[in-house]
Amino acid sequence: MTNSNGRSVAAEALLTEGNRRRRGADASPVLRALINYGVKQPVGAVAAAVILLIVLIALAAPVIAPYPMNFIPENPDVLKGPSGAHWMGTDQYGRDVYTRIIYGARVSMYVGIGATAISTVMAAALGLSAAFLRGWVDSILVQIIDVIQAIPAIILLVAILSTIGSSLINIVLVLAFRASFVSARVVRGAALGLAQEPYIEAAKAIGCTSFRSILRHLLPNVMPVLFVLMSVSVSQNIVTEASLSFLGYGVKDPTTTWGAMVGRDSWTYMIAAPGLLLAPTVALVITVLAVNLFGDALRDHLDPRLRGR
Amino acid sequence: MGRYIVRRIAALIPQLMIILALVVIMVDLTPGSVIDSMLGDSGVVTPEARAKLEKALGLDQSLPQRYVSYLTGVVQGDLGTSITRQRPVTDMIQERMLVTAELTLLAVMVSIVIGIPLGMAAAIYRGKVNDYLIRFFAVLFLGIPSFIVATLVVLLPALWFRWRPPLFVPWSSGVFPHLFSMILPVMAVSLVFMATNIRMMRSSFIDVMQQDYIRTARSKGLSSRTVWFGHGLKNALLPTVTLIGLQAAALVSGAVVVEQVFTLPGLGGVLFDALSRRDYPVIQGVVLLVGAAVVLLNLSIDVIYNMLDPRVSFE
Repeated sequence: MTNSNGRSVAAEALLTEGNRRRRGADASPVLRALINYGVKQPVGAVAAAVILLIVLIALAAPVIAPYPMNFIPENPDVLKGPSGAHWMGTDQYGRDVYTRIIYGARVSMYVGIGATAISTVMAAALGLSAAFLRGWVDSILVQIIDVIQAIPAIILLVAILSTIGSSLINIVLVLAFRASFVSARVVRGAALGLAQEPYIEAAKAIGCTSFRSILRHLLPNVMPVLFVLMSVSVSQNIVTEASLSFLGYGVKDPTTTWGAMVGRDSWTYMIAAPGLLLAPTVALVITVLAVNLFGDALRDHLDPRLRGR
Repeated sequence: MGRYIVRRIAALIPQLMIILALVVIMVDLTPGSVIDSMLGDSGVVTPEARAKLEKALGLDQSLPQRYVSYLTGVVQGDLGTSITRQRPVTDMIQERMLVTAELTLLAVMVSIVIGIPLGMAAAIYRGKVNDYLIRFFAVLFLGIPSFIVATLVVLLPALWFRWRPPLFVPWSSGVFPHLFSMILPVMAVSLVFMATNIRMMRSSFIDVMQQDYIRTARSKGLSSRTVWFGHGLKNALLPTVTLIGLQAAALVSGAVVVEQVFTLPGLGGVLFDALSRRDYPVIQGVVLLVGAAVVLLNLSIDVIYNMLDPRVSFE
């Protein structure tokens, strides 16, 4: 029962089934898939549009912003409410709040997307290897994950950042470091069951290396889990960065971040200029809400059994 | 049962050893020398000051030596001495730990007491207005970081009524004034977790209600109330209990941040004060203690889980 390649026919059939399953019944074009998503998940589509808009604003910040980031006019109007010249008023130095909100989107998006990109790749590598190889690799990884999860994120990150210094790139790396392990647990959990599927056995039987089995057969089947993890991770990273900045351990002045704008300085002027606090708060809430709603819709879309749960 | 707990506690030892290693290595992470960055703040660097500080941090020893001596200290209940405050770290942590522990536990309780019934209600009213209202609330608060909730809780009353929430009142000034001063901080910490509990409870209750034993209970002619509370609740609680264990570390994170907004004298204060002075023994102590506390909390959640679900054998 072998074909011309010397592979067992049964193994070949199982492999094809695995491949078909991961590609979905019909490989529809990207556009049709997008429209399909929009029709079935209107909330998710709106959320996606909002996220896209924020990303565009972040990218085009120097073009859109009415003033340079830290521009202080010669006769600054400090702590003014909204006006034609300053849509969201000015801060205690006379800087335009609207401009700073636009530039703040850059940090949030950079941290959210950057750290997530790194951590998703790491989590997939760690989680899939652990689930596929089992044995001591798995035990060690689980122990490390337990330890890293045991130390509260803020305490761990602040302790690390205060020793290595909190530049933007360090924040991205440290967030990615923690998220890699936390997400690896989820990937591992999803992959443990899949690793027992007959098509993985078939892949091993026809002599696929571990690397190839993981990359070509296990990875495509955990893709839905990875997508959902990404959306959760983006929102968590944005929130954690904002919390770090709020506490004063984030990116330092003069770089603007929403978290830092909610911090101590604006508290001092809470009564005189509440807009200083409200503007970054609203920006942060809209962003995180959009990412969460998009993630929820994505989860429902990828796993119809969960719909409406 | 007893043997299970003993075995689980034994399994904790490697975890605690790794946390300890992390804490000891932390000092080595600083680019350049820790001593330079610590003394850099104060200005003058004399060789004597340098040697004294190196000795205080144990940096005159090798890494394994430091690990062993720190471990010995921990076993004897000694976490070293604060460099800037000249006080034993255990004393400094002890008096502040209670506030953080209280904040965390109250937040867990509130998020359970409010979250679980709301999640159940959403599941029972599935697809109705009540369900959508509860879910909207859950998604909203899931997305709002606790420091924002805390900020709004302080800001909005100040704007509308020119009223600032009361500052922290210690237990010694009376139980009710104390609890009253804790209401807003607890609310700020618990909202996110309440939202998570609502979502988890709702989906697991819907799941349970479709099981065969619920159909059996209904066909026996039991009232809806008996089915919900007698048969559904206990089974639907399982995933939610696990979730609360997983949230433990995040809860402490939230508490530490919220403490800063309300200026509560908790662990957050000790930690951030130590960080700004680069007081490493204190930072190490806080990280170690909180890590150990969360690991123990997780263990107790696992034990509760086992008690709730007889199908999970004690192994």
